[in-house]
Amino acid sequence: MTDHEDLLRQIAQARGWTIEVGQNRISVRGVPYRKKDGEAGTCQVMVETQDDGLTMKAPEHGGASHAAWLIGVSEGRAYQAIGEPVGNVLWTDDTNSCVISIKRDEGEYSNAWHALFVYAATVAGEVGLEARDQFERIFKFEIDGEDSREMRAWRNRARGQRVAIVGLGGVGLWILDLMSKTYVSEIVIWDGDVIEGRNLLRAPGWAGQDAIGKNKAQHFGEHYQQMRNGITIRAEYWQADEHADAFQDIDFVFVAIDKEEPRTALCERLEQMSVPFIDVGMGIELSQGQVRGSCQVFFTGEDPGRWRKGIPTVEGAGEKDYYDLQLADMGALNATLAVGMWRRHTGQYEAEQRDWLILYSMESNDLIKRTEQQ
Amino acid sequence: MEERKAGYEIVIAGRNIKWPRNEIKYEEIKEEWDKLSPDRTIVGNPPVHYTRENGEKDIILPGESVKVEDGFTVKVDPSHLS
Repeated sequence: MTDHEDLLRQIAQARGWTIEVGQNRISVRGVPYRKKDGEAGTCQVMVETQDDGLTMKAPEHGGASHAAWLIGVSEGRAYQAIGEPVGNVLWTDDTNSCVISIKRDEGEYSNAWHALFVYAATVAGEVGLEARDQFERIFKFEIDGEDSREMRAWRNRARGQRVAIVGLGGVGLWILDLMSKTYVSEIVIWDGDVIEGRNLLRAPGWAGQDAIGKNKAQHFGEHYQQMRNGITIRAEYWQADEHADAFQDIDFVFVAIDKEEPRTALCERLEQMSVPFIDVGMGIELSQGQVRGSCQVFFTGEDPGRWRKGIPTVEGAGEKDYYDLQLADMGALNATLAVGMWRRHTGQYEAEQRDWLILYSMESNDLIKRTEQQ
Repeated sequence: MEERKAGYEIVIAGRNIKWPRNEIKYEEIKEEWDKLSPDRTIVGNPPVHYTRENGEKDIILPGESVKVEDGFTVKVDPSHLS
């Protein structure tokens, strides 16, 4: 798979587009486009290829080998926001289809997937965010309810965002569950670990006994892919030397890693890249026949470097009790506090103050918070 | 200064101790804790929870200090796992 094919497939999944590979043609369906009157619709963008599936071929109606078809466009054209047609229109039937040419200043397209990516992105890019909202499908089913302008504007606070969850343990899986039910466009999940029996008692819902022995990211990623688009699976551990640039296009990261070394390396990297993040974790123990402890949510907030103070370094401590106690409720609470903090950060929830640290104490049933200074 | 010669009765690691000043640093709590509870020392730098007699609850993080009075009680949760 070429880099452009990989990228286009990721974008298509995030936006609910459908990629089709046929004999001497590749295309993407469901791409939003702007009509002459400014309204939005969806169309199919198609590039013809030689037998190798990579080298571009000139469409029957257009002489240029770098040209592409737009099919399903009203009056045979897609428009820019300024009212001019997208690209150079080489041919149109004035009703439904056209062949257009978009030349790149940087030179020829490296292959057909590169061209398809550029054409689809260019056509979709002329459609406003609110109009795209109607077409770019996140969930794989219809959702009843009000679809007012205000409601769409609220959803758009999350829409378009790309978030990552690193670590799918007893808290990370709950974060995945909650985030998959938001309107973010993409969720990238990282974990190289395999599922054990105890993970099934910590995870939301019932993952099925067959899950034991499978990779966490792969299994749970595929599970949530049945519900929504835009879940990208990384069935591996994040490693500082191999994946230094993995979060370049990511808007927000949830860090749910147990191990000290990779957590510290990841926090350092995110700080360098100015990517905001939330770290989660809990400390619990069985003492005199009862469980006590706390869970914590840390957010970088206004000070990207304060994770050094706000995230505990407690390598190895308390592991036995944590692994032997299966507290799905605490995992869910930890994740709920984390996702709530993200919603405040993105303006989805009204916030009376900006918290950067929340601790929940089990025995006192209290929340303790640290807030940005006014 | 509000110092009292006899110090303050505070509770660390479940033990009552006399603390000579009306303020205590995170690092001092950790040091006292490890002396009082050698079989369950504080590993790393977890937040220290404290409670005052009036019911006020808060935390102390590394590098911070807090005022103490009689009945000031601290506890620590040992891990940060997810």
